[in-house]
Amino acid sequence: MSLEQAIRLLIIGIEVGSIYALVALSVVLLYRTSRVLNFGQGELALLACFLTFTLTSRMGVPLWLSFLAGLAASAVAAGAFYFFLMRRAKAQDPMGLLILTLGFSLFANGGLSLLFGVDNKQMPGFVDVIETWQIGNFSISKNSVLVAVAGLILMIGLYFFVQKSKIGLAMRAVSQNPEVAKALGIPVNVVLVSSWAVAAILGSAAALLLAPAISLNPSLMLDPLNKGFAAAVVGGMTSLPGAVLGGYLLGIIEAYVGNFVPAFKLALAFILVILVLVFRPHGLLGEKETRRA
Amino acid sequence: MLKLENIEAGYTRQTIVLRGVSLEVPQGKIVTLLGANGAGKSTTLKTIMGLIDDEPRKGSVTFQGNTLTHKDTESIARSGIALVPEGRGMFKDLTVFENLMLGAYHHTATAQSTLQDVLKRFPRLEERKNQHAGTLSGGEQQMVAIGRALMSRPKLILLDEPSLGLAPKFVQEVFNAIASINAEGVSVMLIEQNAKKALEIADYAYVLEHGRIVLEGTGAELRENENVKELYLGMTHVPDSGVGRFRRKRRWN
Ligand SMILES: Nc1ncnc2c1ncn2[C@@H]1O[C@H](COP(=O)(O)OP(=O)(O)OP(=O)(O)O)[C@@H](O)[C@H]1O
Ligand SMILES: [Mg+2]
Repeated sequence: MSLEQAIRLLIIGIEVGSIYALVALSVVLLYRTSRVLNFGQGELALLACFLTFTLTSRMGVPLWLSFLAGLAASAVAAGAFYFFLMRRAKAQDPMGLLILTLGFSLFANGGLSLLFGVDNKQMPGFVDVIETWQIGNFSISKNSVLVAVAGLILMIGLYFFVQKSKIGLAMRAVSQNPEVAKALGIPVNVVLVSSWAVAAILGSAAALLLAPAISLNPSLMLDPLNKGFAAAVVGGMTSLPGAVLGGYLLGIIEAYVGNFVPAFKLALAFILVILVLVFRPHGLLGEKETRRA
Repeated sequence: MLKLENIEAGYTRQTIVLRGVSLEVPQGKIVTLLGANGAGKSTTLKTIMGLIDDEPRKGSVTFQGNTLTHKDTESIARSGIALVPEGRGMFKDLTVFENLMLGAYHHTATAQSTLQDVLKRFPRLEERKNQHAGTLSGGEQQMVAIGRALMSRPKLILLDEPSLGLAPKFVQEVFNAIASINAEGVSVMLIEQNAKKALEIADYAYVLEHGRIVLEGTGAELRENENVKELYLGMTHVPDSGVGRFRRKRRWN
């Protein structure tokens, strides 16, 4: 493998890895605050994509504005789903809630397919996906750079939100000890609605960054969601830095392995998951024991 | 100031923990609630804070004339009641500073000046401000828990066994802190295993057994009560006309 090719694969790995990392972050964020996995994450992201697509390609709204509207819509939908359904569900055990999100996912996927169609749509992007920059005789895809940089900015934004904002502090408190947080008068519901909304924004941003390079249809998020879950497990489910590490690691390994043994690419994420579960069940950066007694 | 009337509460529909508890914390006083393990002391505090869904099933809680029964915990806390939970309730991975600031969630305007007061009261927290709460000693964690409760400038503070598991030096420090907080006008409801010390600083005391108040009186009265002496103060004289419900379960000190 030439150096050039090695670098090209690395860039692809980082690009795909940022998508996985964003999805993994949304999984971990939600898991930490509400101890639940949301199978509906993909449909929330689809909602953002379809709305963005409709606004910009059908109605001529500027792309950036459609983009923000898409993110906002999925945030609101996620917050509402938590507030009106998850919170009130009679079955408050993890399995019952998981099934509820699964039901939501199937229902929403059907609804979105009905509304927007199942055909492949060309999602507009901020840059043309085939354009490249030439550096000497080395060409680099503008879209790859955009995805990687946008992903990085979102992750830094999330870091400041979680570490420095008041609601971020409250999120961390709720994730560590919800009963004490409640007793202190912290509005636990507001915190949980916010974490559902932020998780939806992360997943939707991943979808919006991904869609222009492939085509937009109701199964857009199937693969990235599987990989994002895998990255979250590899990183350790409860660790936000772990999710980022897991995402990039999976993206990069996939890029190299896929280049040489394409058939192996699909199974790779799950081989990684199995290795982690066998040798390091708490993940690369996760906590060894569960904090909640 | 705080009044519980015939409270019945539990955790599941089939079981009952509090079987008609009535008690009162007058303004500016220290009231202590004694009782064996499992008597329902913590449950009483959780019921006051509205931490158990749909409880109490009977009776009422009023605070400064307003009913708190079935209100949500957030508004109960905002009405001026702060809880120092059993086991200190640290957010272990958050710093001392973050733990304290969470206590002032609805009091942003006064947070900085209250923080200074708290750090003056517990100077050793100042040095450990940026340390994760989980790495503090038990005594230091208890100071964080009390300080965090004070951050909301409460009118009433509920303390659930604040001296549990602490070395004697820290126990004394905690009791001194409670007395001085009370001297500044904050009413106190104190649950303690250390009945001797609790009865010394309490204006009034209740004894809870199996979810019922079986005895009440001023601190001095209870200190002289033969049953209390035997069961809670660990004195050896056994009265032959003991109240039937009192069972020897455990001795303190
Ligand atoms: N979360 C819960 N779910 C179900 N039952 C509970 C729960 N918490 C306490 N109980 C039960 O309620 C009863 C009273 O418990 P509580 O914690 O109020 O006792 P306590 O007087 O505080 O005892 P201790 O001195 O050991 O702290 C016990 O029988 C206990 O098993
Ligand atoms: Mg208790």
